[in-house]
Amino acid sequence: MKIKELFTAYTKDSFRQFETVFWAIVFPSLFFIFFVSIFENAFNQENDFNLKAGIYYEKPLTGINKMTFESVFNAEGIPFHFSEYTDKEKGIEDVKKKDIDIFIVFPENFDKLNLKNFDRLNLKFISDKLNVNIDNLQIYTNYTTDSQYAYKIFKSITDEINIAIKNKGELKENFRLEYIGTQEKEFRYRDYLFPSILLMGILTISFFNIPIGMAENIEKGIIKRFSVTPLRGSDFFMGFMLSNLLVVVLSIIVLYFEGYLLKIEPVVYSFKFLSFLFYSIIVCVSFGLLIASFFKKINTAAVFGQIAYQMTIFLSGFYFDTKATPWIIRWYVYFNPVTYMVDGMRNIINGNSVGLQNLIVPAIWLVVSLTVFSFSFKRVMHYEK
Amino acid sequence: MKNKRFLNLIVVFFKDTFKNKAEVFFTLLFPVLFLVIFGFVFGSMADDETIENYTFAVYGTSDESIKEYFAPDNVIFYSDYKEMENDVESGKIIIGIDVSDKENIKLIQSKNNENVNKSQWAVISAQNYLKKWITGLKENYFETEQKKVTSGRIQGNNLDYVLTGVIAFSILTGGMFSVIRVFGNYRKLGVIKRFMVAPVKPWEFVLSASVNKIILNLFSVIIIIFLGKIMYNLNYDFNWFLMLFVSVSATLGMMAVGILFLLLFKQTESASNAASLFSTAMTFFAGIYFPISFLPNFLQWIAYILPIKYIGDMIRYCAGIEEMKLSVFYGLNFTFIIVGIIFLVYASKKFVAKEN
Repeated sequence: MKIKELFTAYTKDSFRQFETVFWAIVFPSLFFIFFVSIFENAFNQENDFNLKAGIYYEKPLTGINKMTFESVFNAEGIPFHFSEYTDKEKGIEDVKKKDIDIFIVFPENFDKLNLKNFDRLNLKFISDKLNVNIDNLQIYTNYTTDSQYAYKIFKSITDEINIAIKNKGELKENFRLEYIGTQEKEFRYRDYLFPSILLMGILTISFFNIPIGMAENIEKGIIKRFSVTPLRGSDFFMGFMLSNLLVVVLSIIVLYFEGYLLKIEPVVYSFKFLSFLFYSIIVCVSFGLLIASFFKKINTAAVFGQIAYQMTIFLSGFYFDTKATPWIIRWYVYFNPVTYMVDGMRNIINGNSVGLQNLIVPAIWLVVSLTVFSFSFKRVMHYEK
Repeated sequence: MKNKRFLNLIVVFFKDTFKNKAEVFFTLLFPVLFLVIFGFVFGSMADDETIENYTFAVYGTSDESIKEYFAPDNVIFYSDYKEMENDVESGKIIIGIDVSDKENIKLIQSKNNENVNKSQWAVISAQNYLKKWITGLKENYFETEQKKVTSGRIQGNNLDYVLTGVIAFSILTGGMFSVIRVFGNYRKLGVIKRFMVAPVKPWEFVLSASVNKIILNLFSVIIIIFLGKIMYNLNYDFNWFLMLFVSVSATLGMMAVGILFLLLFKQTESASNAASLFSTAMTFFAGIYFPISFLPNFLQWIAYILPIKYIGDMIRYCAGIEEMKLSVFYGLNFTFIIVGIIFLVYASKKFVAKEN
């Protein structure tokens, strides 16, 4: 009965605070929609790039050479919008200003490539005899990611043209792409991101609400006041924790509803995934209790919580690969349990089994955190009496 | 005498700031945390994405000449197919290639790879290398030559872009939240009232508080720039005079935004929450950590109405990695200064003089 009343009181208090509702419930769901809408295309194989390329001919192309390049520039399915320039300097300026992503300059002697086409006709001795030298195709780029991608894509197109010249355009493509782990499944960024967002919501409560809430109870003398009532320390703890767990559950429900609308991989509703999610909640919450064990002041708990939160969400592989970072920060990637939790959830989504490390490393944190907290809690309750 | 009083006020505000661990952390150390995280995470991209070399696994041949076709990327031969599959799955190898049947070459890719884009490029590269190997094309008929150009004084890279974004964000939060604290929290705690019963004029209070916050922001900017230089050997070459000018003007401009929130929301907490939301939105929509072109077209216009986009642009200009017309540069700076001063004068009347 006492726990129920305390739970109601703490829950009301939580929902009166804008921060709780927004950062734990609303923000993760907004973040999910936003990131899926921005990055899903960038991660999709059938990318809808819209890159801008400028072309400048120091001397007009003729013959097969002209036909080859015109067919490339007019081809469908190429992620470029090509525009011809009559002023080379203007094109370079436009790359600098990022009005176009790349600027392709055909050198004056580039038309000699026609002579190389003798190779196609088995007349290689002619081009050999003429000792044809062709200057490089100059591709101007700026430092933006779009420009770097544009260069990579155009380079692969020129490789294809070189191969076509060599084999008279008759090479039969005998390549078959095979995937490991997810035989038939196509990669979808939303499935990749979903575990990260779930954990982001859980971590917000674990790293902020729990340690700051505990510190607040101490700093504002709430525990002291409880100690003169017939309430036990465990009643206070249960009421406080249950109200926080309710916020976690609400955050997850909102994300699942969003995931349902976005047609997330159905395996996220499976018992296996939900069990692992439950396990992750317990570990994250215990991590929050560990922070609460060391920081008894609101300010210090908030500052440490913020450091731990930012490091964890950026260095656990939530949004980008962190396993290739330098050792000076990579230790945190392997040290913190969240890396293993997000990995475990992704394994389940990909149809793989959860690795032993995905269970053991978080379990170690769980045991250590709960042990440290239980001692700290007893000490605090004793001190506050 | 007046000067001494003014200096004393600045000292008081400094002492108050450094007593508040959270404020010190969020003004001085929080941007450093982002610098460290983003610096190391994006550092690998800084040199040049295009020259990153892949390592491919090849099974089914021991023909050493294949390495020539795959240059400048690397090839490792495998005699055990399962071992190759395991290495691809663990991410040790980006793509596995089974060439035991040249009529049916298999490219093995892990779908668990977190860096999906990277592996897509590796597939395209591998296909081209293999075609060259099959057709015996050791030397291209024509080559491409990448020529990097920059509008700035120096050749920037992704990391320069991100870290100048960190500086812009630090100025934004430093300026915006400082006025919420000075005019919101101090008013709520009765601090302003106490100052006003002393022989302190409202303008002295506002000016000393503002100078204090501007100096703190400058500190933060200098720390980020020096750490960036030391830790990541960044390319940027700051024009220090212009950078000082931007730091002061942008801080004043961001103070105006903070005051605007205090005017819109009666409660200091509500103003603070709205400011948090606003700063979060700015990190996504203003091209601070990633270029605006990453956003869908229908969202790109948002960047142009957010002040932090212009602060980022000005800092990149000061760092020498972007170009900007001098008229635009000074126009933006003076706009921030004028708007900042107008709002500070209004705030001194609305929040300070009224308490007198």
